[in-house]
Amino acid sequence: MIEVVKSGLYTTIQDVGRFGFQKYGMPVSGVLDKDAFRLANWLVGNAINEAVLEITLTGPVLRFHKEVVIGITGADMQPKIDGKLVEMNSAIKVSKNSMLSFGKLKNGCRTYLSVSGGFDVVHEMNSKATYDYAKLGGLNGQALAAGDSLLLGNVDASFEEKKVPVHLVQNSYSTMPVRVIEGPEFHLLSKAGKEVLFTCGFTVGSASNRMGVRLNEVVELDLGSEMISSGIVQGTVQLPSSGMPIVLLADAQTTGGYPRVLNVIKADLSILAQQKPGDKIRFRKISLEKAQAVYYNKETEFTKLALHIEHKKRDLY
Amino acid sequence: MKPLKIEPFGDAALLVTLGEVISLEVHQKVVSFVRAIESSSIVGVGELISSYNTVTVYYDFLQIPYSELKSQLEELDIEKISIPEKNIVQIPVCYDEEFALDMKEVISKTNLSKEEIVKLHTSKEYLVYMLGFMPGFFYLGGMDTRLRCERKEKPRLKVASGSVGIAGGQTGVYPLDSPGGWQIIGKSPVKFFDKSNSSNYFKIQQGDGIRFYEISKDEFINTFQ
Repeated sequence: MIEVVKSGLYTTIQDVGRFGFQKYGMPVSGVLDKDAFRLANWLVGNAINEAVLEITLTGPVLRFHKEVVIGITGADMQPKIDGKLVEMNSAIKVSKNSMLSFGKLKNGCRTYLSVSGGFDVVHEMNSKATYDYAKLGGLNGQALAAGDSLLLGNVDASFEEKKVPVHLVQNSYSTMPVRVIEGPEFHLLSKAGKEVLFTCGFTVGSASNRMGVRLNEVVELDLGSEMISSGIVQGTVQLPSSGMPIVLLADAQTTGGYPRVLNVIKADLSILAQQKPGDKIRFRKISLEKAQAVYYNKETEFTKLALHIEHKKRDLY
Repeated sequence: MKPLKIEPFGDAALLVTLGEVISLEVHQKVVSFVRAIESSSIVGVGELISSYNTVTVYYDFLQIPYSELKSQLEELDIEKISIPEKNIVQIPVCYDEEFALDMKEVISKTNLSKEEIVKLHTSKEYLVYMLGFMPGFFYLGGMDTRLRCERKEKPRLKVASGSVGIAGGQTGVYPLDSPGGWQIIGKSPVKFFDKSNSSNYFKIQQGDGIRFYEISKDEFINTFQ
């Protein structure tokens, strides 16, 4: 068992997501940075889809009542065990009664914590992913709170030295532009609007959350911004009437009535999820063919570690 | 038949547009198209999100290239798909003042009496054009135009699940507790989304027909709870 001493700002149990219900308006949810998620499970020898903790901006304080192996990936929040800094992207043996805490955020926005054996919470609608809007999944359908107990799966605490290969470790989340392709309503933008999208940097707003990254700068449309409600996918850049773009993430609603001007490519969703309020992002347009090739190359690297996420029929997203 | 409009929607989905307006004809095309995909054997097709006039199709481009999927979708013969008989769902609603939080406002805005409002609301069969906005929320068409009523100026921070409301020319039900600006005229005891009912998580599907019928507060409390 792991005891939650402090919850952190927003810590949830997440897996790869909840599939098959988008046609009923149910978002997929699941981890936002799939790369860090997969690596965390790999470090401790878990199945690729085992649930982990997704930790946002400020880390929790956790007491381990059992000896386990853990892995910490994603944003660097300076993790410490019993006050001593520990290495990220590396399998760590944690002894009984140890305390895990986090320091100041050094880069990124979201940290992933895996535990050997995973978390023993029920699957709701085939997933352990927390979707708090519908009180679904995770621990009681909501973020962790101080005093919670996290039950663990069958723990195999046999320890194996493991480190994430250097080329898969993201040392910085701020240098690369976010790559996009044009969205279905790109043509509704004014000439100035189109220019602003690709020349201006955008600032991540403080109201950003698992539903979307809200950007602070205004982009102009030629015509009104209302349209017939239609589907949304992860990475859709929507332009509401305020003119301030929202990049929609895993907890976003499945349909919306605002122009979808861009879509962030699948390969860049993980890095997008690591942008925190105040960070600057830039969009760079690429072709569909290029976007898919980028994803293919990236997955090839993960496949080498047997970490390509395979989906059953109808379970793609 | 006119060729379908198919375009990329991000790098992992494509968007099929079957009409440019909200109409019964376009809706039926959408429903037929979804059925055609679901009964086809096209590889690499993932989840579908259908709306009033579009279908979003997720796909795995490692299994099927965009151009190949596009041409296979264009070949689907949606004219041949027969739409099964509409499933009519009867929905009990209690219009008692305890639940009808905005009945007074609706009375003054529509110049109708409470009885007339209930009668008009329960006299029509509505069509579920699409689901979306939140889990289990259905967009209904077919409300009597005399019930038209603008949204509340100040949305509520929490509307209870089951609440039945009117917004502009539309009526609908909140499947979850949620913030919202609809004018609330009643409440249904039905669970539209039930995570513990694994054989039927969602009560309503796209294409269903809906009829509201009035129940008393006593029935709401004793029969349905």
